Amino acid sequence: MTRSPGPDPTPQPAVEVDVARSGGIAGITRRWSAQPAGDEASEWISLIDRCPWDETGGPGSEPESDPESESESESETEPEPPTGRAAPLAAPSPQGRGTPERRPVPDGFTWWIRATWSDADPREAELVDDQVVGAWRDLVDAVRDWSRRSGDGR
Amino acid sequence: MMSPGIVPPYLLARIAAVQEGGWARAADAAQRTLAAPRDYTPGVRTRLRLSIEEPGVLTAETAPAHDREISDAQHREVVPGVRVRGEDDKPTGDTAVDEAFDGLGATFDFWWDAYARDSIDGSGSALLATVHYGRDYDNAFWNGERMVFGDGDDDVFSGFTGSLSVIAHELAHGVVEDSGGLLYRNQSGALNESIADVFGALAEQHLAGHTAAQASWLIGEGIFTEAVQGKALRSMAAPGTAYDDDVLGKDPQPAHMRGFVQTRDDNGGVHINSGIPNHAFYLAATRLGGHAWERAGLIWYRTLTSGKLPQTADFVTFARATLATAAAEYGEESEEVDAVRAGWTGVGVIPDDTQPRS
Repeated sequence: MTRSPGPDPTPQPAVEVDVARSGGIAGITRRWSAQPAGDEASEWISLIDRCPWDETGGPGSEPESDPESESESESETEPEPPTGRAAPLAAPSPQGRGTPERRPVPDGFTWWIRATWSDADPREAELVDDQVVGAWRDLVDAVRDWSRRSGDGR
Repeated sequence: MMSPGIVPPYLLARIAAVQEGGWARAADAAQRTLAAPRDYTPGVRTRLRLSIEEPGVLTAETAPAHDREISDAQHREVVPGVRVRGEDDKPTGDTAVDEAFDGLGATFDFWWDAYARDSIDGSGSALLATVHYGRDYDNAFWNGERMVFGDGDDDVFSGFTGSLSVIAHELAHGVVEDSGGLLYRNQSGALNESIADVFGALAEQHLAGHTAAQASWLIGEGIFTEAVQGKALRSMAAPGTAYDDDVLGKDPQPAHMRGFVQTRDDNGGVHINSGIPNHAFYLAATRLGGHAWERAGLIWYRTLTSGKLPQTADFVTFARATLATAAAEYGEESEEVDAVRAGWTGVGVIPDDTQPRS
Protein backbone atom coordinates (compact mmCIF):
# COMPACT_ATOMS: atom_id res chain seq x y z
CA MET A 1 0.00 0.00 0.00
CA THR A 2 1.33 3.40 -0.91
CA ARG A 3 0.74 6.55 1.05
CA SER A 4 -1.35 9.07 -0.82
CA PRO A 5 0.11 12.51 -1.37
CA GLY A 6 -0.58 14.90 1.50
CA PRO A 7 -2.98 17.83 1.31
CA ASP A 8 -1.95 21.08 -0.30
CA PRO A 9 -0.22 23.51 2.02
CA THR A 10 -2.84 25.29 4.10
CA PRO A 11 -2.64 28.44 6.19
CA GLN A 12 -1.24 28.13 9.71
CA PRO A 13 -3.84 26.00 11.52
CA ALA A 14 -5.61 27.59 14.46
CA VAL A 15 -6.08 24.24 16.15
CA GLU A 16 -4.17 21.00 16.04
CA VAL A 17 -5.32 17.74 17.60
CA ASP A 18 -3.01 14.75 17.58
CA VAL A 19 -4.06 11.24 18.45
CA ALA A 20 -1.79 8.24 18.91
CA ARG A 21 -3.13 4.77 19.53
CA SER A 22 -0.57 2.28 20.79
CA GLY A 23 -0.78 -1.30 21.98
CA GLY A 24 -3.34 -3.73 20.67
CA ILE A 25 -2.41 -7.30 19.82
CA ALA A 26 -0.52 -5.96 16.82
CA GLY A 27 1.51 -3.52 18.90
CA ILE A 28 1.39 -1.11 15.98
CA THR A 29 1.19 2.56 16.96
CA ARG A 30 -1.13 4.52 14.68
CA ARG A 31 -1.12 8.32 14.61
CA TRP A 32 -3.73 10.74 13.31
CA SER A 33 -3.72 14.50 13.24
CA ALA A 34 -6.23 17.22 12.42
CA GLN A 35 -5.28 20.84 11.69
CA PRO A 36 -8.56 22.61 11.07
CA ALA A 37 -8.31 26.24 10.05
CA GLY A 38 -10.69 29.17 9.73
CA ASP A 39 -14.39 28.63 10.51
CA GLU A 40 -13.89 24.95 11.12
CA ALA A 41 -11.59 25.68 14.05
CA SER A 42 -14.29 27.07 16.36
CA GLU A 43 -16.34 23.87 16.04
CA TRP A 44 -13.24 21.95 16.99
CA ILE A 45 -12.61 24.10 20.04
CA SER A 46 -16.08 23.29 21.38
CA LEU A 47 -15.44 19.60 20.66
CA ILE A 48 -12.19 19.85 22.62
CA ASP A 49 -13.84 21.74 25.48
CA ARG A 50 -16.42 19.00 25.98
CA CYS A 51 -13.69 16.49 26.87
CA PRO A 52 -12.97 15.98 30.57
CA TRP A 53 -9.24 16.75 30.34
CA ASP A 54 -8.87 17.26 34.08
CA GLU A 55 -10.30 13.90 35.03
CA THR A 56 -7.83 11.77 33.18
CA GLY A 57 -4.15 11.07 33.09
CA GLY A 58 -2.58 14.27 31.89
CA PRO A 59 1.12 15.02 31.76
CA GLY A 60 2.85 13.70 34.84
CA SER A 61 -0.39 12.72 36.54
CA GLU A 62 0.57 9.08 36.74
CA PRO A 63 4.30 8.88 36.76
CA GLU A 64 5.94 5.87 35.31
CA SER A 65 8.69 4.16 37.21
CA ASP A 66 10.56 0.99 36.71
CA PRO A 67 9.50 -2.11 38.62
CA GLU A 68 12.42 -1.92 41.07
CA SER A 69 11.79 1.61 42.17
CA GLU A 70 8.08 0.95 42.19
CA SER A 71 8.46 -1.85 44.69
CA GLU A 72 11.05 -0.12 46.81
CA SER A 73 10.08 3.49 46.83
CA GLU A 74 7.02 5.20 48.20
CA SER A 75 7.68 8.25 46.08
CA GLU A 76 4.92 9.03 43.63
CA THR A 77 6.72 11.83 41.90
CA GLU A 78 9.05 11.71 38.98
CA PRO A 79 10.35 14.37 36.65
CA GLU A 80 8.37 15.12 33.54
CA PRO A 81 9.29 12.65 30.82
CA PRO A 82 11.65 14.22 28.32
CA THR A 83 9.13 13.96 25.51
CA GLY A 84 6.47 15.75 27.51
CA ARG A 85 4.21 12.81 26.84
CA ALA A 86 1.49 11.92 29.28
CA ALA A 87 2.38 8.90 31.33
CA PRO A 88 0.29 5.80 30.81
CA LEU A 89 -2.44 4.98 33.25
CA ALA A 90 -0.37 2.54 35.17
CA ALA A 91 -1.15 -0.80 36.65
CA PRO A 92 -1.29 -0.91 40.42
CA SER A 93 1.98 -1.85 42.02
CA PRO A 94 2.34 -5.51 43.01
CA GLN A 95 1.78 -4.55 46.63
CA GLY A 96 -1.53 -2.98 45.74
CA ARG A 97 -0.26 0.42 46.83
CA GLY A 98 -1.82 3.49 45.37
CA THR A 99 -5.20 4.25 43.91
CA PRO A 100 -7.17 1.56 42.09
CA GLU A 101 -6.39 3.09 38.73
CA ARG A 102 -7.05 1.16 35.58
CA ARG A 103 -4.85 -1.86 35.05
CA PRO A 104 -3.82 -2.19 31.41
CA VAL A 105 -5.87 -4.79 29.57
CA PRO A 106 -3.57 -7.28 27.82
CA ASP A 107 -3.55 -6.27 24.15
CA GLY A 108 -5.82 -3.32 24.92
CA PHE A 109 -5.30 -0.02 23.14
CA THR A 110 -3.80 3.00 24.89
CA TRP A 111 -4.79 6.40 23.49
CA TRP A 112 -2.80 9.59 23.77
CA ILE A 113 -4.57 12.77 22.77
CA ARG A 114 -3.14 16.28 22.56
CA ALA A 115 -4.91 19.47 21.59
CA THR A 116 -2.93 22.62 20.82
CA TRP A 117 -4.14 25.99 19.68
CA SER A 118 -2.64 29.40 19.27
CA ASP A 119 -3.78 31.19 22.43
CA ALA A 120 -3.96 28.46 25.07
CA ASP A 121 -1.72 25.88 26.70
CA PRO A 122 -1.75 22.46 25.06
CA ARG A 123 -3.91 19.83 26.72
CA GLU A 124 -2.99 16.18 26.93
CA ALA A 125 -4.66 13.02 28.07
CA GLU A 126 -3.79 9.36 28.07
CA LEU A 127 -6.68 6.94 28.14
CA VAL A 128 -7.25 3.22 28.09
CA ASP A 129 -9.59 2.01 25.40
CA ASP A 130 -12.82 1.82 27.38
CA GLN A 131 -12.37 5.40 28.57
CA VAL A 132 -12.62 6.61 24.99
CA VAL A 133 -16.37 7.19 25.11
CA GLY A 134 -18.66 10.21 24.91
CA ALA A 135 -16.86 13.46 24.13
CA TRP A 136 -13.50 11.69 23.89
CA ARG A 137 -14.88 9.35 21.30
CA ASP A 138 -16.37 12.20 19.31
CA LEU A 139 -13.01 13.98 19.31
CA VAL A 140 -11.04 10.88 18.34
CA ASP A 141 -13.48 10.01 15.56
CA ALA A 142 -13.34 13.59 14.27
CA VAL A 143 -9.54 13.51 14.16
CA ARG A 144 -9.49 10.17 12.36
CA ASP A 145 -12.08 11.39 9.85
CA TRP A 146 -10.21 14.62 9.25
CA SER A 147 -6.99 12.69 8.84
CA ARG A 148 -8.57 10.26 6.38
CA ARG A 149 -10.20 13.06 4.37
CA SER A 150 -6.83 14.69 4.01
CA GLY A 151 -5.49 11.45 2.59
CA ASP A 152 -3.17 10.80 5.46
CA GLY A 153 -2.86 7.11 6.12
CA ARG A 154 -5.44 4.39 6.39
CA MET B 1 -17.61 -40.52 44.75
CA MET B 2 -17.27 -40.66 41.01
CA SER B 3 -18.10 -37.63 39.01
CA PRO B 4 -20.99 -38.00 36.60
CA GLY B 5 -18.68 -38.96 33.75
CA ILE B 6 -19.72 -40.15 30.33
CA VAL B 7 -18.53 -43.66 31.03
CA PRO B 8 -20.55 -45.19 33.81
CA PRO B 9 -18.42 -46.59 36.63
CA TYR B 10 -19.78 -50.11 36.12
CA LEU B 11 -18.58 -50.10 32.54
CA LEU B 12 -15.15 -48.88 33.55
CA ALA B 13 -15.07 -51.62 36.17
CA ARG B 14 -15.92 -54.23 33.52
CA ILE B 15 -13.20 -52.94 31.19
CA ALA B 16 -10.75 -52.85 34.09
CA ALA B 17 -11.48 -56.47 34.90
CA VAL B 18 -10.90 -57.80 31.38
CA GLN B 19 -8.07 -60.33 31.34
CA GLU B 20 -7.55 -60.86 27.59
CA GLY B 21 -4.12 -59.75 26.48
CA GLY B 22 -5.34 -57.50 23.69
CA TRP B 23 -7.35 -55.47 26.17
CA ALA B 24 -4.52 -54.95 28.63
CA ARG B 25 -4.06 -51.26 27.89
CA ALA B 26 -7.76 -50.57 27.98
CA ALA B 27 -7.95 -52.36 31.30
CA ASP B 28 -5.06 -50.29 32.62
CA ALA B 29 -6.63 -47.09 31.43
CA ALA B 30 -9.95 -48.02 33.00
CA GLN B 31 -8.25 -48.87 36.27
CA ARG B 32 -6.46 -45.54 36.26
CA THR B 33 -9.69 -43.76 35.53
CA LEU B 34 -11.41 -45.53 38.40
CA ALA B 35 -8.52 -44.86 40.74
CA ALA B 36 -8.29 -41.17 39.95
CA PRO B 37 -9.72 -39.12 42.77
CA ARG B 38 -12.65 -37.12 41.50
CA ASP B 39 -14.58 -34.52 43.32
CA TYR B 40 -18.14 -34.03 42.40
CA THR B 41 -18.10 -30.93 40.26
CA PRO B 42 -21.50 -30.14 38.85
CA GLY B 43 -21.45 -28.61 35.43
CA VAL B 44 -17.96 -29.79 34.52
CA ARG B 45 -18.08 -31.74 31.32
CA THR B 46 -16.12 -34.88 30.65
CA ARG B 47 -15.62 -36.71 27.40
CA LEU B 48 -14.49 -40.20 26.62
CA ARG B 49 -11.63 -40.66 24.24
CA LEU B 50 -11.38 -44.05 22.61
CA SER B 51 -8.34 -44.86 20.56
CA ILE B 52 -6.89 -47.92 18.94
CA GLU B 53 -3.16 -47.54 18.90
CA GLU B 54 -2.37 -51.13 18.05
CA PRO B 55 -4.70 -53.57 16.39
CA GLY B 56 -7.00 -55.09 18.97
CA VAL B 57 -6.02 -52.64 21.71
CA LEU B 58 -8.76 -50.29 22.69
CA THR B 59 -7.74 -47.46 24.99
CA ALA B 60 -10.41 -45.63 26.88
CA GLU B 61 -9.55 -42.42 28.69
CA THR B 62 -11.68 -39.70 30.09
CA ALA B 63 -10.61 -36.17 29.26
CA PRO B 64 -12.21 -32.90 30.18
CA ALA B 65 -14.56 -31.62 27.53
CA HIS B 66 -14.88 -28.23 25.94
CA ASP B 67 -17.30 -25.76 27.41
CA ARG B 68 -17.44 -22.85 24.98
CA GLU B 69 -19.76 -19.94 24.62
CA ILE B 70 -19.63 -17.32 21.88
CA SER B 71 -21.49 -14.04 22.10
CA ASP B 72 -22.10 -11.36 19.50
CA ALA B 73 -21.54 -7.71 20.49
CA GLN B 74 -23.50 -6.71 17.36
CA HIS B 75 -20.93 -4.01 16.54
CA ARG B 76 -21.31 -2.23 19.85
CA GLU B 77 -18.44 -1.90 22.29
CA VAL B 78 -20.12 -3.92 24.99
CA VAL B 79 -19.48 -7.37 26.41
CA PRO B 80 -20.69 -10.02 26.54
CA GLY B 81 -23.35 -9.18 23.94
CA VAL B 82 -25.93 -11.71 22.80
CA ARG B 83 -25.15 -15.40 23.27
CA VAL B 84 -25.14 -17.01 19.82
CA ARG B 85 -23.43 -20.38 20.18
CA GLY B 86 -22.99 -22.74 23.10
CA GLU B 87 -21.10 -26.00 23.33
CA ASP B 88 -23.86 -28.21 22.00
CA ASP B 89 -25.02 -25.90 19.23
CA LYS B 90 -24.38 -26.41 15.54
CA PRO B 91 -22.28 -23.98 13.49
CA THR B 92 -24.10 -20.71 13.01
CA GLY B 93 -22.84 -19.85 9.54
CA ASP B 94 -21.32 -16.66 10.90
CA THR B 95 -17.61 -17.04 10.13
CA ALA B 96 -16.35 -15.07 13.13
CA VAL B 97 -18.57 -17.02 15.54
CA ASP B 98 -17.61 -20.40 14.14
CA GLU B 99 -13.90 -19.61 13.80
CA ALA B 100 -13.78 -18.38 17.39
CA PHE B 101 -15.61 -21.51 18.52
CA ASP B 102 -13.20 -23.82 16.68
CA GLY B 103 -10.17 -21.84 17.80
CA LEU B 104 -11.19 -22.06 21.44
CA GLY B 105 -11.61 -25.81 21.03
CA ALA B 106 -8.19 -26.26 19.42
CA THR B 107 -6.59 -24.14 22.14
CA PHE B 108 -8.31 -26.13 24.87
CA ASP B 109 -7.08 -29.39 23.31
CA PHE B 110 -3.55 -28.00 23.14
CA TRP B 111 -3.43 -27.14 26.85
CA TRP B 112 -4.87 -30.51 27.80
CA ASP B 113 -2.82 -32.70 25.47
CA ALA B 114 0.47 -30.88 26.02
CA TYR B 115 0.31 -30.07 29.73
CA ALA B 116 -2.83 -31.82 31.10
CA ARG B 117 -4.12 -28.34 31.89
CA ASP B 118 -7.89 -28.29 32.08
CA SER B 119 -8.80 -24.94 30.50
CA ILE B 120 -7.45 -21.50 31.39
CA ASP B 121 -7.71 -21.83 35.14
CA GLY B 122 -6.74 -25.50 35.20
CA SER B 123 -10.16 -26.37 36.62
CA GLY B 124 -12.31 -26.59 33.56
CA SER B 125 -13.46 -23.00 33.34
CA ALA B 126 -15.74 -22.21 30.40
CA LEU B 127 -14.09 -20.54 27.43
CA LEU B 128 -15.90 -17.34 26.59
CA ALA B 129 -15.56 -15.12 23.58
CA THR B 130 -17.29 -12.09 22.15
CA VAL B 131 -17.08 -11.41 18.41
CA HIS B 132 -18.18 -8.47 16.23
CA TYR B 133 -17.00 -6.09 18.94
CA GLY B 134 -17.32 -2.45 17.88
CA ARG B 135 -17.38 -1.04 14.40
CA ASP B 136 -14.28 -1.51 12.24
CA TYR B 137 -12.59 -2.44 15.50
CA ASP B 138 -8.94 -3.22 14.82
CA ASN B 139 -8.11 -5.44 17.72
CA ALA B 140 -8.51 -8.63 19.73
CA PHE B 141 -7.87 -8.62 23.46
CA TRP B 142 -8.33 -10.51 26.70
CA ASN B 143 -10.49 -8.55 29.15
CA GLY B 144 -9.71 -10.69 32.16
CA GLU B 145 -12.69 -12.97 31.60
CA ARG B 146 -13.19 -13.47 27.91
CA MET B 147 -11.61 -13.00 24.53
CA VAL B 148 -12.94 -10.07 22.60
CA PHE B 149 -12.60 -9.83 18.81
CA GLY B 150 -13.20 -6.86 16.56
CA ASP B 151 -13.87 -7.43 12.88
CA GLY B 152 -10.96 -5.31 11.66
CA ASP B 153 -11.46 -2.33 9.40
CA ASP B 154 -10.80 -4.13 6.09
CA ASP B 155 -8.02 -1.63 5.40
CA VAL B 156 -5.35 -3.14 7.62
CA PHE B 157 -6.94 -6.15 9.30
CA SER B 158 -9.42 -8.53 7.75
CA GLY B 159 -10.48 -9.91 11.13
CA PHE B 160 -8.80 -11.78 13.97
CA THR B 161 -10.65 -15.07 14.41
CA GLY B 162 -8.99 -16.64 11.38
CA SER B 163 -5.67 -17.03 13.17
CA LEU B 164 -5.32 -19.72 15.82
CA SER B 165 -2.11 -18.13 17.09
CA VAL B 166 -4.11 -14.96 17.82
CA ILE B 167 -6.88 -16.86 19.63
CA ALA B 168 -4.42 -18.95 21.62
CA HIS B 169 -2.37 -15.81 22.36
CA GLU B 170 -5.39 -14.21 24.02
CA LEU B 171 -6.21 -17.30 26.07
CA ALA B 172 -2.57 -17.57 27.12
CA HIS B 173 -2.93 -14.12 28.70
CA GLY B 174 -5.58 -15.77 30.86
CA VAL B 175 -3.17 -18.55 31.81
CA VAL B 176 -0.48 -16.00 32.68
CA GLU B 177 -2.94 -14.13 34.86
CA ASP B 178 -4.09 -17.32 36.54
CA SER B 179 -0.46 -18.27 37.23
CA GLY B 180 0.17 -15.11 39.24
CA GLY B 181 0.51 -12.57 36.47
CA LEU B 182 3.29 -10.51 35.01
CA LEU B 183 2.93 -6.74 35.34
CA TYR B 184 1.85 -5.48 31.92
CA ARG B 185 4.57 -2.94 31.35
CA ASN B 186 8.26 -2.78 30.49
CA GLN B 187 10.20 -6.08 30.68
CA SER B 188 7.64 -8.01 32.75
CA GLY B 189 4.98 -6.85 30.28
CA ALA B 190 7.13 -7.95 27.34
CA LEU B 191 7.49 -11.36 29.04
CA ASN B 192 3.70 -11.50 29.43
CA GLU B 193 3.40 -10.78 25.71
CA SER B 194 6.12 -13.23 24.77
CA ILE B 195 4.58 -16.07 26.79
CA ALA B 196 1.27 -15.37 25.04
CA ASP B 197 3.08 -15.56 21.67
CA VAL B 198 4.95 -18.74 22.64
CA PHE B 199 1.79 -20.62 23.58
CA GLY B 200 -0.10 -19.03 20.69
CA ALA B 201 2.50 -20.43 18.27
CA LEU B 202 2.60 -23.79 20.07
CA ALA B 203 -1.19 -24.19 19.89
CA GLU B 204 -0.99 -23.66 16.13
CA GLN B 205 1.92 -26.11 15.80
CA HIS B 206 0.05 -28.66 17.93
CA LEU B 207 -3.04 -28.49 15.71
CA ALA B 208 -0.94 -28.84 12.55
CA GLY B 209 1.30 -31.52 14.07
CA HIS B 210 4.32 -29.45 13.08
CA THR B 211 7.81 -29.94 14.44
CA ALA B 212 9.94 -26.96 15.37
CA ALA B 213 11.63 -27.23 11.98
CA GLN B 214 8.33 -27.31 10.07
CA ALA B 215 6.62 -24.49 11.93
CA SER B 216 6.21 -20.96 10.56
CA TRP B 217 6.84 -19.35 13.98
CA LEU B 218 4.58 -16.51 12.85
CA ILE B 219 1.96 -14.86 15.04
CA GLY B 220 -1.22 -13.72 13.31
CA GLU B 221 -0.45 -15.08 9.87
CA GLY B 222 -3.15 -14.09 7.39
CA ILE B 223 -4.92 -11.41 9.39
CA PHE B 224 -3.58 -8.50 7.35
CA THR B 225 -5.53 -7.50 4.26
CA GLU B 226 -3.96 -7.94 0.82
CA ALA B 227 -3.15 -4.23 0.84
CA VAL B 228 -0.60 -4.58 3.64
CA GLN B 229 2.97 -5.45 2.81
CA GLY B 230 3.51 -8.11 5.43
CA LYS B 231 2.82 -11.72 6.26
CA ALA B 232 2.02 -11.62 9.98
CA LEU B 233 2.11 -9.49 13.14
CA ARG B 234 5.31 -10.99 14.48
CA SER B 235 7.96 -13.53 13.62
CA MET B 236 9.57 -15.51 16.40
CA ALA B 237 12.13 -16.95 14.00
CA ALA B 238 13.18 -13.53 12.72
CA PRO B 239 11.76 -10.72 14.87
CA GLY B 240 11.60 -7.45 12.93
CA THR B 241 10.76 -9.06 9.58
CA ALA B 242 7.01 -9.76 9.83
CA TYR B 243 5.94 -6.68 7.87
CA ASP B 244 7.37 -3.64 6.17
CA ASP B 245 4.56 -1.44 4.98
CA ASP B 246 4.40 2.11 3.61
CA VAL B 247 1.70 3.11 6.07
CA LEU B 248 2.27 0.80 9.05
CA GLY B 249 6.01 1.09 8.90
CA LYS B 250 8.39 -1.76 9.58
CA ASP B 251 8.03 -4.47 12.21
CA PRO B 252 9.86 -2.85 15.16
CA GLN B 253 10.74 -6.01 17.07
CA PRO B 254 14.34 -6.56 18.15
CA ALA B 255 15.77 -10.09 18.23
CA HIS B 256 18.58 -9.21 20.65
CA MET B 257 19.13 -7.08 23.76
CA ARG B 258 21.32 -4.69 21.78
CA GLY B 259 18.15 -3.64 19.95
CA PHE B 260 16.05 -3.21 23.13
CA VAL B 261 13.59 -0.35 22.56
CA GLN B 262 12.87 2.27 25.22
CA THR B 263 9.47 3.79 24.61
CA ARG B 264 6.48 5.09 26.50
CA ASP B 265 4.08 3.78 23.88
CA ASP B 266 2.51 0.36 24.22
CA ASN B 267 3.02 0.16 28.00
CA GLY B 268 6.75 0.47 27.51
CA GLY B 269 6.98 -1.48 24.28
CA VAL B 270 5.53 -4.75 25.54
CA HIS B 271 4.72 -5.88 21.98
CA ILE B 272 8.10 -4.70 20.72
CA ASN B 273 10.65 -6.07 23.18
CA SER B 274 8.76 -9.37 23.38
CA GLY B 275 10.76 -10.16 20.24
CA ILE B 276 13.78 -10.86 22.46
CA PRO B 277 12.29 -13.62 24.67
CA ASN B 278 10.31 -14.87 21.65
CA HIS B 279 13.51 -15.44 19.75
CA ALA B 280 15.17 -17.08 22.78
CA PHE B 281 12.34 -19.61 22.84
CA TYR B 282 12.63 -20.18 19.11
CA LEU B 283 16.40 -20.78 19.41
CA ALA B 284 15.94 -23.25 22.29
CA ALA B 285 13.06 -25.09 20.59
CA THR B 286 14.73 -25.43 17.20
CA ARG B 287 17.95 -26.60 18.81
CA LEU B 288 16.03 -29.35 20.60
CA GLY B 289 13.96 -30.22 17.53
CA GLY B 290 10.81 -32.33 17.48
CA HIS B 291 7.53 -30.96 18.78
CA ALA B 292 8.34 -27.65 20.41
CA TRP B 293 5.58 -27.96 23.02
CA GLU B 294 7.08 -31.16 24.41
CA ARG B 295 10.36 -29.95 25.87
CA ALA B 296 10.99 -26.23 25.33
CA GLY B 297 7.26 -25.56 25.81
CA LEU B 298 7.11 -27.71 28.94
CA ILE B 299 10.05 -25.81 30.45
CA TRP B 300 8.33 -22.48 29.76
CA TYR B 301 5.03 -23.81 31.10
CA ARG B 302 6.51 -25.17 34.32
CA THR B 303 8.40 -21.92 34.84
CA LEU B 304 5.26 -19.87 34.35
CA THR B 305 3.17 -22.02 36.69
CA SER B 306 5.82 -22.65 39.35
CA GLY B 307 4.31 -20.01 41.60
CA LYS B 308 7.81 -18.59 42.07
CA LEU B 309 7.87 -16.07 39.25
CA PRO B 310 7.55 -12.51 40.56
CA GLN B 311 5.02 -10.26 38.83
CA THR B 312 7.85 -7.85 38.09
CA ALA B 313 10.20 -10.48 36.63
CA ASP B 314 12.57 -9.08 34.06
CA PHE B 315 14.18 -11.01 31.20
CA VAL B 316 17.17 -12.13 33.28
CA THR B 317 14.96 -13.35 36.13
CA PHE B 318 12.79 -15.31 33.73
CA ALA B 319 15.79 -16.72 31.85
CA ARG B 320 17.36 -17.99 35.08
CA ALA B 321 14.03 -19.47 36.12
CA THR B 322 13.75 -21.40 32.83
CA LEU B 323 17.29 -22.73 33.33
CA ALA B 324 16.42 -23.88 36.84
CA THR B 325 13.25 -25.54 35.53
CA ALA B 326 15.16 -27.29 32.75
CA ALA B 327 17.75 -28.55 35.26
CA ALA B 328 15.06 -29.80 37.64
CA GLU B 329 13.11 -31.47 34.84
CA TYR B 330 15.93 -32.95 32.76
CA GLY B 331 19.14 -32.69 34.82
CA GLU B 332 21.96 -30.14 35.02
CA GLU B 333 23.94 -31.77 32.22
CA SER B 334 20.98 -32.28 29.89
CA GLU B 335 20.71 -31.11 26.31
CA GLU B 336 17.57 -29.26 27.40
CA VAL B 337 19.57 -27.06 29.80
CA ASP B 338 22.13 -26.45 27.04
CA ALA B 339 19.42 -25.52 24.56
CA VAL B 340 17.71 -23.10 26.95
CA ARG B 341 21.03 -21.49 27.83
CA ALA B 342 21.91 -21.18 24.13
CA GLY B 343 18.53 -19.51 23.56
CA TRP B 344 19.09 -16.84 26.18
CA THR B 345 22.73 -16.23 25.32
CA GLY B 346 21.72 -16.02 21.65
CA VAL B 347 19.58 -12.97 22.39
CA GLY B 348 22.05 -11.39 24.83
CA VAL B 349 19.95 -11.82 27.97
CA ILE B 350 22.51 -14.09 29.64
CA PRO B 351 26.23 -13.65 28.96
CA ASP B 352 27.85 -16.50 27.13
CA ASP B 353 29.97 -17.65 30.07
CA THR B 354 27.20 -17.68 32.69
CA GLN B 355 26.49 -20.98 34.34
CA PRO B 356 22.94 -21.75 35.35
CA ARG B 357 21.89 -20.86 38.85
CA SER B 358 19.21 -22.72 40.66
